[in-house]
Amino acid sequence: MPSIANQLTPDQISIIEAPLDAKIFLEGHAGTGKTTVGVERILTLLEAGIPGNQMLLLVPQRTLAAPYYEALRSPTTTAGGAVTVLTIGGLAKRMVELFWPLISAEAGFANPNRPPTFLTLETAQYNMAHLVRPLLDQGFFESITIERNRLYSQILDNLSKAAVVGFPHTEISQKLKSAWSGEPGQAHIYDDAQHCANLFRTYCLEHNLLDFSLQIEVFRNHLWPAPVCHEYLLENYRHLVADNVEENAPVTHDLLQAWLPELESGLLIHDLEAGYRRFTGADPQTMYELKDYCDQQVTFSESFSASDEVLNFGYAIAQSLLPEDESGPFKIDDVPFPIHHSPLDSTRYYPQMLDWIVEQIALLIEDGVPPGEIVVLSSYLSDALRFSLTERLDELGIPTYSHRPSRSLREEPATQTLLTLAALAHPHWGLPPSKFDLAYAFIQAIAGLDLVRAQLLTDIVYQKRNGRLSPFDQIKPETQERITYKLGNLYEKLRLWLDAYIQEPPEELDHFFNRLFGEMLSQPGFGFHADYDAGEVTANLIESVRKFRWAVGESLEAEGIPLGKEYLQMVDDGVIAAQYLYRWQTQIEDAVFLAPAYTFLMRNRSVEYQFWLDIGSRGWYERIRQPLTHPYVLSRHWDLHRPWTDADEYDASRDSLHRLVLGLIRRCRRGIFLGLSELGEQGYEHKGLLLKAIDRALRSAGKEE
Amino acid sequence: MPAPIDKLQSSFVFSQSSLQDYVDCQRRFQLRYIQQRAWPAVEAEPAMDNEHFMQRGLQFHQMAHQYWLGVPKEKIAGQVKGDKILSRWWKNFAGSKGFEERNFQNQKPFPEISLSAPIGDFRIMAKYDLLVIQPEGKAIIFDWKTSRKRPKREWLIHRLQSRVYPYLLVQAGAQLNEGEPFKPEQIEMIYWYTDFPDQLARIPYSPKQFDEDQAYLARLISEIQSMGEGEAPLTEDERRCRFCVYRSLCNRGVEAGPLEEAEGDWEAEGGFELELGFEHIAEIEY
Repeated sequence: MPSIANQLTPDQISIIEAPLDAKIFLEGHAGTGKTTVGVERILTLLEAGIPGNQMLLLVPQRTLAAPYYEALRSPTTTAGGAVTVLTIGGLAKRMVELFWPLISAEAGFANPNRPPTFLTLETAQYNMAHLVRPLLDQGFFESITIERNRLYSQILDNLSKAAVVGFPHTEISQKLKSAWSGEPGQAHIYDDAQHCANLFRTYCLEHNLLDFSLQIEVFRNHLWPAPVCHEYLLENYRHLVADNVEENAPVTHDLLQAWLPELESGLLIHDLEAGYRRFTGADPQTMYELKDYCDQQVTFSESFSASDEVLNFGYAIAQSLLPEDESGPFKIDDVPFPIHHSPLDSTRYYPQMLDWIVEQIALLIEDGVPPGEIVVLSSYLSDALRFSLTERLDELGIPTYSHRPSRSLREEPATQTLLTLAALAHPHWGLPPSKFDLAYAFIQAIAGLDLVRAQLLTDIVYQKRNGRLSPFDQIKPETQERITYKLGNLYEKLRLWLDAYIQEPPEELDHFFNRLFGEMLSQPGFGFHADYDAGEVTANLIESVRKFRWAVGESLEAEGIPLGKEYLQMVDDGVIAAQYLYRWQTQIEDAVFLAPAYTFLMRNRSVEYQFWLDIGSRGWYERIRQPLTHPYVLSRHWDLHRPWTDADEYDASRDSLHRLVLGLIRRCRRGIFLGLSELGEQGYEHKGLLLKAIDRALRSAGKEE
Repeated sequence: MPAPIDKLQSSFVFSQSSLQDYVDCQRRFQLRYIQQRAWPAVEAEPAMDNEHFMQRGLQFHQMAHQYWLGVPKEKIAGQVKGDKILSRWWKNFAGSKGFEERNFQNQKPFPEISLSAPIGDFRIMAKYDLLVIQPEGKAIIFDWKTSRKRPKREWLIHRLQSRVYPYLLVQAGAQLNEGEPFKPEQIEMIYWYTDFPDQLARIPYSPKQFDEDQAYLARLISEIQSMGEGEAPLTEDERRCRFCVYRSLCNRGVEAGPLEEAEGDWEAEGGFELELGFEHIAEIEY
């Protein structure tokens, strides 16, 4: 790694080389070199002989640690102990695991001598569904229309908010009801949500289950005060660097307040105008109190990322959005805005706008701009949009990569194949697959089998009534010939394998998938052989099933419910396998990045060019409809009994758009391309706040008609 | 889906298990670490026994860690009352005179500590179950082994773990020794088997061994760096393929081998040792 020492400013150097016991609060806008300071400070401490294993890097989200990982992995970094990199959730989980025997009883777990089970979002939703479903039949939540899994996730979200904001989970409904300004009769849904949250917490304590909220509460209330755990943390982590502290919730800030006086050194880094993760409880306001716990406060103001022209454009939009805000450094210079927009006369329809965007990307690359210096940002990246853009760019040989936070596991063809074959291999579940699903599974499972042959084969060999497959050699010879003996032979291998499995006692579903994949589907001649995508999806499905089994297997067994059957039904209901994270993706170094705007911000990197897609969309600022929870009302600063009004909603939208625009602008070095079409992705006409703000900015600067 | 990767990323961090994979089968290394392919076949049969075996291994490591952090023995023991095997392991550990607290009064135990150091254009990393620094400056590396068989010392000596761990302690352990690098002759590695508590496998280190290891590891990494983009050669020892998840991809068999036969070296084979990277340290304790 080339030394960057000669590129650092005196301000940066003074923090990096500050005394080894310095406690510094560093703030500044994105692109002012704060994270560079964080990275170099750690390297300097290491070079000064501070053991890496005495350092903790705390980040709100793993992606934000990327520059630190890069430096720590470099061969030029000093040898020694490894620096610990954690999120607050990771720290809480680690402490619960280590000190469980000491606190499990006092924390109220019914079986303190049994190990804890950590719930994923998926298994937490399943347990919530298990408890709430009977209540829905009794009339709970009947006055609202909402998908069930969204209902479950919002109740879980309320519990998480209570944990990270730091109020008792029993006060959720009181807070939500007091801010409700709609029809009085509707407020009872908050009581329903409270009842479900209480039920879930009790169930977790009875079964040693820990969702995210309980991990945080156990850590905060029982582990941090426990002498053994407290000493462990103080002895092991003597030096702290916390980046993007504004993206953390109040409980993390409370912890840092308590921890800082006991640390040898600390560097807290605050990104001004950020706080993008408000929906997870991020609270820039409580973060500010940390300033007083540091001996030195430093502000960086020189931007190394955005050009003056780009900043000027950003300021103009910001001023247009919040004209009453006089605190910003908003100055509209008479310099051209470095922007381009799609021609209004030829991009009426959404696909036309996509064509224009792809054309502009191609021109930039032709001009020598590296693809990795281009990002395409939207408010929400649907599968359809991702596909459309990727296909268009692929055709031109332009590499792309995307990192949507999640995508549906159950919609993957490999998943459907595995689930169909599982249903077939477990006739006692009473879930025989349809002929359509089975034919589809055969196409995926047997390489070279087309739709016509698959349907023909299924029609002949499968009887849904008894869920059994008949042998290939019982098919008429002329039909065998039509299907081909080669494919028939593969079918027969699969049939015999399934048949042999049925004769034995059933295995756990995840082990069944391991075996089906390894012994059949990935073998030569079968559809998953050398298909790495199918391997990846299968691995994810197996992981999902395994975690499901570990979390709920015992309870289901006690109730006499086959776990595999329950899993399949929950997949059908959309409770599990609805979304999952791909394994940590390796970023392709030189490819156009397609992402939702907030995902890009949480990667904290700057690029030369940004494309903002569909700037008329309301998705750029509107909150997702969440009738059962509320990030603002459940924050530490909302006054009890103050109603949340439409004006509050408008202000919050405007404020979040303001932050978003400035965050994007500060991560753009050369220019912005604005994609707009008269009709949006769904075919509706839209003129949202962002479009209006840009329009006003251009007009007031006299730069556009 | 991520696009295929043909070359080892510059940020890759080597460990004893990734290097052991390379030595055992270059193709396995290529698929696992360069291309990062998930290939979820059964590793050993019966699958459930294998799962229990791995879980117990993890849990034992955690219990040992808790012990060194000061969690009372009886509290730790309470967690495994219903599991005969784990209870036996714990009894062997807790009853072992060698691990009694009084023996460590003037010593510095470092449980679950990770060290890393540069090697060529990369870094190498290891997570030690327990490092003990004795007053006279001797450093002992303890490694807990939960396999049912106790392999021969000769076999252990040649494992990458026995070479990487002491080598890395020399290279990266100065901060644990008042700023002075350990001399190879100050280091000893001890494998402690949960089912053979009195049969320690002690492997002393020496300057000669350090020189050999340094040259050997540098050569291995240089070889890996120069791997071409084509398919790497498969192992000549096809018995290994029975316990390798990629066997179907390489047309090297259908069913997984029996756990009984694999267990001797299962831990070191990567059966439960998780591949370590800086990002994993953040998420996974063991």
